[in-house]
Order: sequence, then structure tokens, then C-alpha cells
Amino acid sequence: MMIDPNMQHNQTPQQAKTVEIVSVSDFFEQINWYGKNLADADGLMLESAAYGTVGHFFSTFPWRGSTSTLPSDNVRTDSDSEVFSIEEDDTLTLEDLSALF
Amino acid sequence: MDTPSVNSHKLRQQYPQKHNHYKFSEFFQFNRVEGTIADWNGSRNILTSEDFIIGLLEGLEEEVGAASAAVMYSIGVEWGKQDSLFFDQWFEREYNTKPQQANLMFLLETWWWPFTAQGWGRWEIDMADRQQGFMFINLFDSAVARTLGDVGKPVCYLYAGLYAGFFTEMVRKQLSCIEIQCYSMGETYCKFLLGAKERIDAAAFWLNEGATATDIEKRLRSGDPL
Repeated sequence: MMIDPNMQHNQTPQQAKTVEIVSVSDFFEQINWYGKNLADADGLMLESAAYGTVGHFFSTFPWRGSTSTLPSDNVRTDSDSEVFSIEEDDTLTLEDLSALF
Repeated sequence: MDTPSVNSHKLRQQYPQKHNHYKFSEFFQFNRVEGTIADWNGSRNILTSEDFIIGLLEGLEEEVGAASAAVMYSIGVEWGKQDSLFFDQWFEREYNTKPQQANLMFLLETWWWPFTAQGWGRWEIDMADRQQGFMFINLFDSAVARTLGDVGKPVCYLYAGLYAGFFTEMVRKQLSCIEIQCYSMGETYCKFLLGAKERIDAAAFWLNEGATATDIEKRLRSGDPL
């Protein structure tokens, strides 16, 4: 079947109004990659946060489901390697694993 | 395992603190003059084809018959033990922390990343049952199973041995491992059970009796007598 691009499909005048076409690159440009001037549902303005590193970006995620702090509260200025401790805290270590077998 | 020298990787010398070095062009260093490939940790690598893997397994089977599975497992165990010693060294050198003091999941992921970069597949550790003394390892894209295709039986004995050897050394307890589900059985990924020998022997018995991976998981979780 040939499709007429100008076909109106029984549209009402309101439905017939032009739909804004956004290209993929436009779409990605609209994303607020740097987290600037974001307003949350309560109208609070989040602090402008330019994420210098991937580590900073992920440190702003509320991983534990906590909503008591704004994501920008968690932004740290130290380096990637300092954001994540590889040493034991309250997590398993090899010795814990050994004890289980 | 041939470990020429940690200094043989020039990029590593340049960026000793770089941890995200698993990109193909960064992890491997090709030395055209010597005809060698060294990885980030100084280990010597060789490139092999799928034909090589098939030739190795089929040749072994022709030589020793059904015992080829046990031979591959034993090779894996020895490899795992050797690799744990090697890993001990490079982990401490790279992170300035002893493996015994590191976060376990971080440690294990760090161990497996070079294997992923080398084409051995990705893994996922399931420690939900660790309190009962066993754990599962899910392996995606096993080099062996992917090569052999659907042959209707588990084929990743080398991996099972590797896990058994590595964990035996790391936790200082004699552990065994068995593949209870394999890509070569038509499954979407391979699944290994790691634990004490008697538990693995029981799983092997159930598997021979026709039990599926799900059956074995259920029996282990319900505490079925071994």
C-alpha cells in the first residue's frame, strides 16, 4: 500500500497541528548532562554540579534509596580512586568467605 | 604461566596508577620484534583460534578417552592455583592492599577482568547461598562451550578446575567445582557450583542421574543429605 505523507487520517483541527520532530542529536543535546539548574518536584533548585569525573557523577546517585539528601550533597571533589574504598568496611573479605566453607 | 616482567608493558610504566586498562589496545602490548604479546600485568599471552580449542579437546579425548574431562579439570586446578599466586602479587602492587583486606566482590571482579579481556567470557558470582557453604558462578560466553557448540553435555572442565584451584588457594580450604549447566547443553549460559568436595561429589552424582541445575540448586538449598 502506498502511504501518502500528506494524508490527514480524519484528524480533528487540534490533532492536526504540527508535531515537533526532534532529531537524535537534538534529543541528546537537550539532556542536561552536567546537571545544571535542575529543579526537582518540590521546586528546589539543585546546586549546579559539573561532574568532573565519572566517579563524581555516580557518587551523586542515591544508590541506597535514600531521599533525605539532595544528589548534589554527595558530590565530592576528590579523585576517582578516593571516592570508592576497596578496603573492607562492613562487607565480606576473603577470610569471611573462607570461614563459610 | 609465563610472566616475563611487569616492566615489559610500556603503557603500564607510563600510567602505573591506571586501573581501567582493559581496552584491547591498552591491556595488550604487541612486541613485533620479539613476536610476543604481554598483558598489563606482565603475563605472556598467545592468540589461538577456535580450531585450536577443538583440536586440543578432541586430541585429548582421542588419547585418554573419558578421562579427558578429569585431565582438563586438573589442568584448570593447577592453572587456578598458579594464577592465585600471580594475582596476589599484581593486586597488591596495583592497589597497595593485601587481597585478604580487600572488599571480596571488588577483589573477585578484579581477578576476573583480565580473563574477560583475554576472551574467556564474563562472569557473575552468586553468593546468596554462601552461609550454607556453597556458591554459584555464572559464566557467559565460555570460550570452550562457544567453540564446541551444542553437544548435549557440559564441556567447561577447564573453567571448573580454574575456579576450584583459584578459590582453594585464596580461601586456604580444599574446594571443588562442577559445571551443572552449560551453554553446550543448549542453555544460555554456563553455571558452576563451588564448594567442599563432598558437596560437589553429591552434585556430580545427581547430575549423572539426570538432575538439572535447578534440581541441584533446590536439593542443596533444602539441605538434602549428601
